[in-house]
Amino acid sequence: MAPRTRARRRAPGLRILALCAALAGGNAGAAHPHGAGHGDAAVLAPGYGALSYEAPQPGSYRLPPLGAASDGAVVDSHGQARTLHELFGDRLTLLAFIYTSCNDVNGCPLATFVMGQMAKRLQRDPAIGDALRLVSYSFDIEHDTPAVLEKYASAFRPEGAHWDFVTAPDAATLERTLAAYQQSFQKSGGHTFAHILRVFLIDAEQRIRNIYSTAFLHADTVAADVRTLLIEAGRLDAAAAAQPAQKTNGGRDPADPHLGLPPDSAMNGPPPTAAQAALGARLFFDRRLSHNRTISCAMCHVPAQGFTVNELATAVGIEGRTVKRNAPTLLNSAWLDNLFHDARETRLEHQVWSPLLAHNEMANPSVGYVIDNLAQWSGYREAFREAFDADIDMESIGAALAAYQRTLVAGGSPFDRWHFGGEEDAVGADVKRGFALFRGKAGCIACHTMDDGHALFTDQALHNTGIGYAASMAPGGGQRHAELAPGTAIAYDLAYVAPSAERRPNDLGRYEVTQDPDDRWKYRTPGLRNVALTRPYMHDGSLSTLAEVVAFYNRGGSPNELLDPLIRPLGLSDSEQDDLVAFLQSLTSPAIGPLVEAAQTITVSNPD
Amino acid sequence: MRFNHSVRSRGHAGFAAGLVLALTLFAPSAFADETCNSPYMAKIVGQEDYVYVWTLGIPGLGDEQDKLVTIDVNPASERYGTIVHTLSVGGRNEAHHSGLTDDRRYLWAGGLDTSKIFIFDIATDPAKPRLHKTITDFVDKTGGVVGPHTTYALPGRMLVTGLSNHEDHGGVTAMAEYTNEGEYVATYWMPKDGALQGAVKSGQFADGFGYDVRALPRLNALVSSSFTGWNNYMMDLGKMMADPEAMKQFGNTAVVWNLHTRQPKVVLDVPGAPLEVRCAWGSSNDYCFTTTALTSKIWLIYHEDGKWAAKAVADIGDASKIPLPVDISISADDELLWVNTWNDGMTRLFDVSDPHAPKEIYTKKIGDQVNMVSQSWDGKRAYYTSSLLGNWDKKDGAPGDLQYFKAYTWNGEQLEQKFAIDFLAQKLGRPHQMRFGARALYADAADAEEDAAPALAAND
Repeated sequence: MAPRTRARRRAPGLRILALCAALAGGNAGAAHPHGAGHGDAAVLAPGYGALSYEAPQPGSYRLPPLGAASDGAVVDSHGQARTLHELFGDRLTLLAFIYTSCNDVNGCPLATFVMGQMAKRLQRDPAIGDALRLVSYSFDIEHDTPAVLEKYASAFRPEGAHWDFVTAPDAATLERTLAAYQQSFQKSGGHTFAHILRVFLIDAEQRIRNIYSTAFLHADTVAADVRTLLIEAGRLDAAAAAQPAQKTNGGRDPADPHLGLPPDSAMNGPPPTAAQAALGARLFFDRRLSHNRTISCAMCHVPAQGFTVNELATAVGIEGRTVKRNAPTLLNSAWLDNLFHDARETRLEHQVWSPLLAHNEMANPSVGYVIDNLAQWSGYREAFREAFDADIDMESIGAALAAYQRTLVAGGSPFDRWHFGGEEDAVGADVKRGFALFRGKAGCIACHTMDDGHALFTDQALHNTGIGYAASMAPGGGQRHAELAPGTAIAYDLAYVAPSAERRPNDLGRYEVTQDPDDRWKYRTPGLRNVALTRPYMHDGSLSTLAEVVAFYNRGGSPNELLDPLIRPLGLSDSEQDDLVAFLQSLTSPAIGPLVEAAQTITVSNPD
Repeated sequence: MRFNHSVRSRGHAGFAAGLVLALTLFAPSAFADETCNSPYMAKIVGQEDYVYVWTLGIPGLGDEQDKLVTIDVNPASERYGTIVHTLSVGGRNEAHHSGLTDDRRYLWAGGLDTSKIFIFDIATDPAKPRLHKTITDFVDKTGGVVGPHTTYALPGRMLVTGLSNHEDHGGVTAMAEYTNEGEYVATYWMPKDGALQGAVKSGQFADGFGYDVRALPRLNALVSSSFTGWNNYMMDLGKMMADPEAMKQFGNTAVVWNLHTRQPKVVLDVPGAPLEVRCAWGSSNDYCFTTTALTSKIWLIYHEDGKWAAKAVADIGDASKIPLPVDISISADDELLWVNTWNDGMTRLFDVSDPHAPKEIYTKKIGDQVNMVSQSWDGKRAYYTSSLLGNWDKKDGAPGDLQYFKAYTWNGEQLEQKFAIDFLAQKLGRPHQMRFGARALYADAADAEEDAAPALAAND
């Protein structure tokens, strides 16, 4: 949040892009469902994500005319002379004023993004498919020639869509047309314009029926408005106009990787812009970001290993120093409000500084050391400026790394397609039985909670399962087993290793934060999504397989006086335990592959 | 291939006397293994003057950083048995192995943690190495190889094996080739499942891991071994042994490469972390030895009937006591193999005259841990150091003879200690790889005797 505050404070004096955003935000800030302004580029407009409220029922409301939609001469992207009214014809029209080189993500690109979404919807939905035309009108007549417009169009326009890209034939016509639509803009040097984003919904009688700005523009609401106008015109039956059946997941497509996840608006922090996420990714994979330049965030959160490390029970930090807990996965961490196994942080923006500075993790000697290094390394200054309109500092570094992590969204698993998407055959009978046990006899759901329409499978609370207690209180010495090579295991006396072994660090869980004896050995409930990819398990990585985890809970955990009362022997049969494992394995997202592939395209920065 | 080093007496009778250079390669039996150097390299066949010890800094000890320690080992020298020079390089890099260029003018010393390679000039003044160049962009240049380990001389070039990678700090890695000047040439990724690069997977495993490499020029072969990635070699040994996931991340392969094309030919199963590779010298001895650190066995990698194969040929101690065989050293005549077991501090001599059936014939406890062994050309002198890895070594507070350099003579029947230097008492660190230097190698070498700084007094 902090960088956002800062950007707002500085916006008036900064370059024109900030002004552009400020104008848009000033118009809309109060309307955001959470009251957060869009006064800077740090917050992606709602149009980019899922609608955070239920779209209005078409036909259940009116859209009073707001005046005439003026005519005007235009030139289309093929160089043809046209008029706006000719383009509008007898259909509904969505008209956006843009310019192609605008790079305020919540300005013209948002308009084009939503228009593109509408174009796809029209192609999918025959009820409205032929009823709406899309017109993008550039006011940059010098730069946006027909050829430039056609190239721009080809990047966004689905094939066959009724979407025209036009501009004015001359400055005088432009001025008249913009004035008629009250679309003021200031040329700010070069091809940069400060303007208030406005997108107009125009009916068949060429009247303006709705005006959308940054905070309002969303394909769901536009679609509802279109249907409402069609119903009003008698061109659509109200009953048939009900939008495609929406489950409480916000109408997400069953193939959507968000399916089953909370809406983006419920993320614990601002949804990232593309520039912020890209900067965060660059930091995330920068091995120079540790004292001796060997450890990046990604070394303990390896994309190809479920954004954790499958090859270690507990993490290894700089110079091989011991970290006493298992590296948690970062997938879907966007929605977490308790971070670290002991929940000692609540925001990703703050959390990132712990590993950066911890002596046994990345061991940077100071905050300033990190900032000064980044300022010297090629490209970072500019990237922070672009992403946050801010200098490199403690807040913007935190915000950048948080932004990247908030892109690691992975839902839409087979379970989600079945449970939330209604796809009966998305999972097998064993998964369905396992889920019944999960929320029934086994009672896992008490801590790995689900909400109406979505599930993170965590109550974001802390519990004592006995794993920590048993490790702290276990007697020392004795025999251990080790696998020396595949299939070659030995039992050995600990004495043979003891001289080389440091004392195992103790771990008291939440108590280490609160100093409350009742909090001994309490750890955060982890989410279960993608759990098949994030072995080994528990806060100390002491269980290797999901079957071992299920067996542990079936035994009733490790009894101790502080054992959570929810942990008790479950009496599950072997086949019931198998079904629970099958359920857990059905929580793997198809988004993982693309996320890993995307991560592997990011440059790993090393010393030069 | 020939070397034509001009050897000139420097006027120090004790230094040059008895020093002979091997001028021709591949002459069987004439070439003892002077601690397992590249066959492409000039050899010291007489009395070595110096041993360069690549030493790990220890937090809280002395200047805490890695250093090259030069020890005078020539009995004819007034400074025999003393440290004549130390050169600190900054930081702890997990100093590990080092290797000489083919012209023996430069010593390359790698850091397994920071992936830096320090190139020391040992020719200008053999008694006083200088830091000539530091390669800091090894990971960047090689496309993600982490942990430069073996620095092995090829003609005009250095072959550098990696242990890990910058994607996940696991064991998948590559070899990199550099010019002697330290310019990057190429990266050769180890063959692995899904990316065998034309190699034949002869057994169950193709893990893509790496460790050591040696050449068998007469067979146009390189043989590489496989250890483990950064996560494991950097972490506390006790923690690792208790972590079943970590224990799965050890190499189980040796790879035979086409030396000329640097293409992998065959991946052999050698389970249990095969480390050092030492190839026989005899012209008809088409085999190399390696030892597996975890399963504690000697393995023979051999060429027979046109095919490469590997098999375990002997046990080294009792694997359940975690002896951890580490450095090995083969004798000039391929008859003997020294094998150190780190955890019990033993050096063990095996009769390998029948390479398919090695027999342990002598053991001696060197210290409370022992890693490296380097023997002289003639096999009459052997030097030992103690350190394995910074976080695997016995903790510095533990009792015993932990961090040392020790010089022995071998009379054919037993080792006799000549002197020892306690690297903890001297506040130096953990001594690791040793390489030999000799003044007579360098016609242009400065006369170091007069101006050499006293031991420990000056770091360049």
